[in-house]
Amino acid sequence: MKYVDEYRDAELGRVLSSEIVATVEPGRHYKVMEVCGGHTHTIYKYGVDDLLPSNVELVHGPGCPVCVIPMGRVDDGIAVAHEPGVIFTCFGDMMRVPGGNGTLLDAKAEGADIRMVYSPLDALRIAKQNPDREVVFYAIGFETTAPSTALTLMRAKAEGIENFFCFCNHVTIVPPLRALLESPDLRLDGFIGPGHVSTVVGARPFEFIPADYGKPIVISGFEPLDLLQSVHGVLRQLADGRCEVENQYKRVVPYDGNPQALRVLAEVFELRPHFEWRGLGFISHSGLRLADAYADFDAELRYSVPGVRVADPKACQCGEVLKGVIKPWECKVFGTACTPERPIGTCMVSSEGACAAYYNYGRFVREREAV
Amino acid sequence: MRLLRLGEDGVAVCEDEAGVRTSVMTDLVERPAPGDLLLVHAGVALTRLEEGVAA
Repeated sequence: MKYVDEYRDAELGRVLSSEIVATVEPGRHYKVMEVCGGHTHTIYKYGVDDLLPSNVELVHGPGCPVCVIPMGRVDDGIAVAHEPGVIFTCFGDMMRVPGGNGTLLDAKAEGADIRMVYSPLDALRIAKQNPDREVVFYAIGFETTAPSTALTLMRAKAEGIENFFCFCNHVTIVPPLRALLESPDLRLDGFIGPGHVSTVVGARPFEFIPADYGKPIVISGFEPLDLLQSVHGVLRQLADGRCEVENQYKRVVPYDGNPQALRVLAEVFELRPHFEWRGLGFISHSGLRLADAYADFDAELRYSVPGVRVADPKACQCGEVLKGVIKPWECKVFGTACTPERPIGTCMVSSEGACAAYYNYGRFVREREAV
Repeated sequence: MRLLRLGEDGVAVCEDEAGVRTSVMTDLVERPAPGDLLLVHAGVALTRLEEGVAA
């Protein structure tokens, strides 16, 4: 199989569903985490979970880049946006993430010059068009997005652009997975590995999951049958008593990733000692900052930012959702006080957030047959 | 996205299925050329795709 229509074929889906049922050990409860927010959306958009027995539980992981940004970092961004003469740029969904003092959209309404961009390259273009202003790009995302920021900064440096700055919130995927595996309140049986991150980093960085924790991981594509195949792959490994890194998404993901992308990341970024994640707290060596050679572009060095840690609103349970401890609909404010139109938490803001997926596709509690 | 035109600086004009055109950095793809189908994320092509393959 390799074409889209094959990966959405309902009959093939039913066959895979039967194979999954046949693989499951009766009476055993399985918890499988899909790490990537894109996978969460495929699962609920296509009803993939309806094809699984109820004792196979899909747990949604921390792979949505917007969802893991803590409130304090939003406030830092807003503070920079209010600096005189600054044009502040960010991705569209970031503008609606609530910080302790409102959202970037609120700051824009108050007069800050905040502009939505589709890529850091758009932000650099704005900087070139406005040489008398300082342009800041609020960078977020995992290793999928970080190469775009890195290449843009390399261009800015090569062209001698002096009015372009990056507020770096890039994060890496391995440390939060390790933190989840160390978490006593979450017992996972295996992982559906992120697809697009792996086009950059490859499958190799996930080898610690079977090696150190004895859990299987299957790197998956984004079509519904990709997900079913990957769930089946995890269950098959468990049934066989194996644990290894499997690459279901070989048509896009090379085992060693994209070497050129890894080189540009290594040139432009370095690991922070620690970085705060929403719901997961501070995780060592999980965030990226600009390397010394790019310090002239570092917005955190250019501007004074509050750098204050802000606790999530008491009503918001994004932290538990991001750790897979609760389902989105189990949150007290899900679908009532917190909706995609008026989000309280990040998981409802982003199109990749688990709460938004449940809300948009109407997936609330429902009964499925156990095996 | 489909690569339409490639600039000397490695930035290409690409078009998605809906006909929306954007600037895409092609530094991470070997020998990009007009007509290539690319997996694009946040303005950078991460890899070249085989024609019609589900990405």
